[in-house]
Amino acid sequence: MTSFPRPPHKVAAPNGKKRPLSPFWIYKPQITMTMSIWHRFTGIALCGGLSLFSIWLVCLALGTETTSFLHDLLKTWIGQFFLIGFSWSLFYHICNGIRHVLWDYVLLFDLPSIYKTGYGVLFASFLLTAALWLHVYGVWL
Amino acid sequence: MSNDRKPDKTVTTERHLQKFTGMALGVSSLYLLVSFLFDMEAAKQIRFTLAIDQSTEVVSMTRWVRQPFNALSIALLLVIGFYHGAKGFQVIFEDYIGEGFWRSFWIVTVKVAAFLLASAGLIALLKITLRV
Repeated sequence: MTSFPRPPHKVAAPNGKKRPLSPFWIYKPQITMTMSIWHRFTGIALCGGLSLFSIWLVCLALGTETTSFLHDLLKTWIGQFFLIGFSWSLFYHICNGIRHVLWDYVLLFDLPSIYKTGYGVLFASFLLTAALWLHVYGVWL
Repeated sequence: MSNDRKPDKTVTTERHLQKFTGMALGVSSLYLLVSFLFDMEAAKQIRFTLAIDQSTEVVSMTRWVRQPFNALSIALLLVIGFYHGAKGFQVIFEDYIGEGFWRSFWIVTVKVAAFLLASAGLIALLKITLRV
């Protein structure tokens, strides 16, 4: 395995100034790159959610008192914030994952479709999260 | 760039594994979420506004875990989920950490943590389901 030296962050531009090497820092934020990075963030969050699920199972195996303690923590506002965050992450990651699988088969892979499905995924993930928690809090259905 | 490059078999296999574990996870997690909501709805537990005796809450959740198909889905979710998660972390580390000791260190650390958490969950699941 060869190891490459890290490239410099700035390189000389023809006008004598230094310009950033990666276009990442000068690009206007676009829905495509924003969706992509949030796929990673939600993936990391879901690892936390899955770990919590594992810990919840361990608590259930240990007994009622331990589980009740965990439930008390999850029922505080910060616990609810995390649960809502995990559920949004799940919906986002699933919807965007479907988009990625479709792209593997070159479906919906033209720029207008990529933009449309991108906004669609964002909208769907918020809608599903809202529906879930309105249901849980007894507001809806 | 030459046009006669053959597709990299390792990369293709990795991508297939990511994709199919992802699909399995989508199905199993949504199934578990919906079945949990229906079960808790039946037991009137999930609505936090109705303050219900905590031991009743835990009993109905244990009953949900013990249903054979749910237990199977949970086992699948744990095994495939932690595999998919560790793989995802590996991709992130390979993208953002330069090749060398620290990249390997973080990949291995996350894999060990994923293995431990998955085993803990599976052992707990066995204990819950096999309890008489």
